Amino acid sequence: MSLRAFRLFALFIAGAALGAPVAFAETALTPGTPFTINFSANSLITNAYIDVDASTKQLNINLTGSGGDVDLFLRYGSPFPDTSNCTSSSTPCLSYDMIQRYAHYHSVSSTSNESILVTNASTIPLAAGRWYVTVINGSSSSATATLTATTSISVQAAAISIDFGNPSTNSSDPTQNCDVTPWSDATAAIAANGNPGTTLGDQRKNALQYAVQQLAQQLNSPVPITVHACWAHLGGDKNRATLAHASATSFAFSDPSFPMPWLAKRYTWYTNTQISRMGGTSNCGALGGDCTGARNDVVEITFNSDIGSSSVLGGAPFYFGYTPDTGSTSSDFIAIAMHEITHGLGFIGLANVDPSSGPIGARAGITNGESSITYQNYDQGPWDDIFGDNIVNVGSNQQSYTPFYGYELNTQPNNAARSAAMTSGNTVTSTSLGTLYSPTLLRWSDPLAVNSSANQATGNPPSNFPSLYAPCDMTKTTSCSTSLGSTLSHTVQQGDLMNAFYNIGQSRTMGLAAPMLAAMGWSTTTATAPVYAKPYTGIWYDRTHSGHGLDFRLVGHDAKYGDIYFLIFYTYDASGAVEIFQAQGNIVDGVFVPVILGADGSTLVRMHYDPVTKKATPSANTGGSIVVDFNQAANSPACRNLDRSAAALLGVMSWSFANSSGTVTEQGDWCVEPLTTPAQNASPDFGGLYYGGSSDSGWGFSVLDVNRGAQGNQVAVDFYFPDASGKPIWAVAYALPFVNGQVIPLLQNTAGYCRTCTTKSQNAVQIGTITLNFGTTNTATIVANYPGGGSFTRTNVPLVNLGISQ
Amino acid sequence: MRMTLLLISLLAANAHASDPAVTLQAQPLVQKLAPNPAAQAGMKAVAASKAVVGPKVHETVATRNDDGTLNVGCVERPNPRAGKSLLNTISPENQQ
Repeated sequence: MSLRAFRLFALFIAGAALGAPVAFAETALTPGTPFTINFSANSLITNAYIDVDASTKQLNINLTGSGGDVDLFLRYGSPFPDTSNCTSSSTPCLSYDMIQRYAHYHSVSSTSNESILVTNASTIPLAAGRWYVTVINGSSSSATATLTATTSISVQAAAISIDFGNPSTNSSDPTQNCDVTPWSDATAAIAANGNPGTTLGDQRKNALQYAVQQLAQQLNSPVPITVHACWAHLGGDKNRATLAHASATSFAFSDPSFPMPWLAKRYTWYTNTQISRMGGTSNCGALGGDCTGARNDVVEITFNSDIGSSSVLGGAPFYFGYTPDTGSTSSDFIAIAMHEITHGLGFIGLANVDPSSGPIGARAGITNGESSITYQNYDQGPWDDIFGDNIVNVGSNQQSYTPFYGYELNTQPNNAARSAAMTSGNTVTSTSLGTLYSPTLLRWSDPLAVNSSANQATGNPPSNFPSLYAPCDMTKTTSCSTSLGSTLSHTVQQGDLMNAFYNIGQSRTMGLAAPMLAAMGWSTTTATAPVYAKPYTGIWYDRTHSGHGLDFRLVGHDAKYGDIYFLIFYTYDASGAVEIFQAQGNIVDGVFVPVILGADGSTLVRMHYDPVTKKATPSANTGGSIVVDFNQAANSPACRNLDRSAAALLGVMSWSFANSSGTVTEQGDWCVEPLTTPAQNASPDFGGLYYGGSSDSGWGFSVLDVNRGAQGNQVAVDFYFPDASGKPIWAVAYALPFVNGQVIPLLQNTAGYCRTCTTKSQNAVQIGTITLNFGTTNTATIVANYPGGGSFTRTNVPLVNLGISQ
Repeated sequence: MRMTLLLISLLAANAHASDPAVTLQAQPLVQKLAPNPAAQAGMKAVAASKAVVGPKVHETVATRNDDGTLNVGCVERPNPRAGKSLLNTISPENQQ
């Protein structure tokens, strides 16, 4: 943010003296040359940088350190904030939170060893220009770390590693045990079908390594991942047995509480494999934690160590050959491993298939404080998942289609439609090649797969959208809507690796799975830079919190840091009395990222007015924070609790207040939208954010000037002023048609409802008047009476408009 | 502070020119971090709370026919870590 802009804000809100500007800290990194940094506790270095030219296809930033907990952040194009943001020498000006919100990529493990890899295929792709690096030691211990940036003109594919160690036991669920001794089984075996192993253990290991090599060669991912390879007694009988199971080891999503900007979809579940792949970092780098042992394994596959015993499937064994298994009395270990690991790479839909967990088809959410996904708690979700995000429901006419996860209300989730689609595949035809499924109503719509040579579906959309497996088990129920066991996450094409059923002689090519995974973060083709939302200046509100609102005012442009906004949050306290908080900051990639205003590091502050100096200063320990994310807000749970489809733009305003110990005492995610768009405003537009100038700050008002056609122009005023004790409060005024010089009643709600309280009707009373004159010079005359006597008054005071045109 | 930065830049440039293996010991600009909100530990706690166990895993199941041949298919089951029983999934069908 520019110094000039800060001076303006300071005059309006605080009148605080600015410290001397601090040198802008940019340090060039030479490719391949280590750069050592000594950190004291809780310190950072901002804006080391490396310049990348158009021929560069891969950038690696590596950090190796000791002591402390050093984290790595990377941003393209414009710098991170630095000390030039400081408004005074006594107020901290940079926070971990702020740096993370500027970062395009991060690596934040609990160690001091971090890495980030960016290629031309990354979500925020490697592009020519300057890439900025910020490194933070956020711990209370000192640290030393060496930073190295390297570039390459080609993208190097990385291996999929296998962790054959780190055994574990799970007493409550032995199927989750990880027994690693079968990998070293010394029982003699005959090398055959390409597998050179001469012991059973070696054949098993060779076969699994062959499986991941096949996947790695087809994925060409530059990001290394590790698969934890386990065995467990999964049991079985002579007729049926589980051969293996697998999963990504965790799932997560990006939202304002923990942004991961490299995930293309906000508020959307991804597997940790996808998160690592797209983020160019390790599992612990993306999501924190340590990287030791199995902690950094992103997929866990478990094979049944009972397979081959005479009591299970008649002793039918695993087949470990490299060539496809052409027999029908054994199980192809490599094909099974490739299939199951591919699920772990993200080939998995999270729509509920278990009626005991919630409605079939329900989105996956999470209960606060829990570690497992739930399908019930709409307050803490639900979110889409990236697999389901690519699915459409095809109409029964086979010609129309709608998104699988469409816009809908939390209170009326359209689970029934998803359930119907998930059980639409009840037509089976016997052919000379085997069982053939007719096209289902559950289709994959992303063009990478639709246009792939691996796609066998033909015709016009949606006929050429690949069908997904959607079983309707008519043998167990009379209605598909109650059928259990829809697998959702499989294709129906014969021979596909991700077909729900294995073929004899199953091929080892990924087929449709490759372009489907590419649409979910595994693409190797050059990506286009993301486009971010651009908010409007003006009044914003949340339909579910009528009476509260925001003045979100554009007050400047900065070449380095983007648009500068001033935010006033007018709201009610716990007793229902009016109160105001304010923030200021930049629009960073479609997100309002505030600067620190309070001495306690708060970004959302309450001011205290001094009637003698006619200035306001931030109250100590407000503990407030605020972020407004305008990107993909319609996907957020906050915006799904009401039909907001007519809104011009949505944003998720995440606010919180903490006590002096830092414990959050109040928080919320509100879905905000502009009251009007610039096109609806009057011409000339007197809208703006006005105050009394440098000698009379600490109060002000925002004006919305709307063209109401034949009725004339309507002016709406939110008036911010101090009460008798110096606490900022607010009132409103409306005039239709507005006429210069008219006396407009000032109204104040005497019975509001707090930010976390149930909505109730307003009880506005007149507390005074405001008279406005707009023209060559703008003036205001104000009388705002206090309930206990006294008043805030101004007479023909000249006004300064902080707002600028969009 | 300006001098420090200049010194760092010069050191970096000289190191590159003479010996890329030289490890620099310069003290970079280190700025005091704001303690709240969302200091490193707090933000990482948020991150940890977001990484959750998946609700289900896929498992490959084989059924054996009277003639000894196997039918192999992949089914879903609920999250075993939640201690739930296996879904009543449909049986894998004949291999194609």
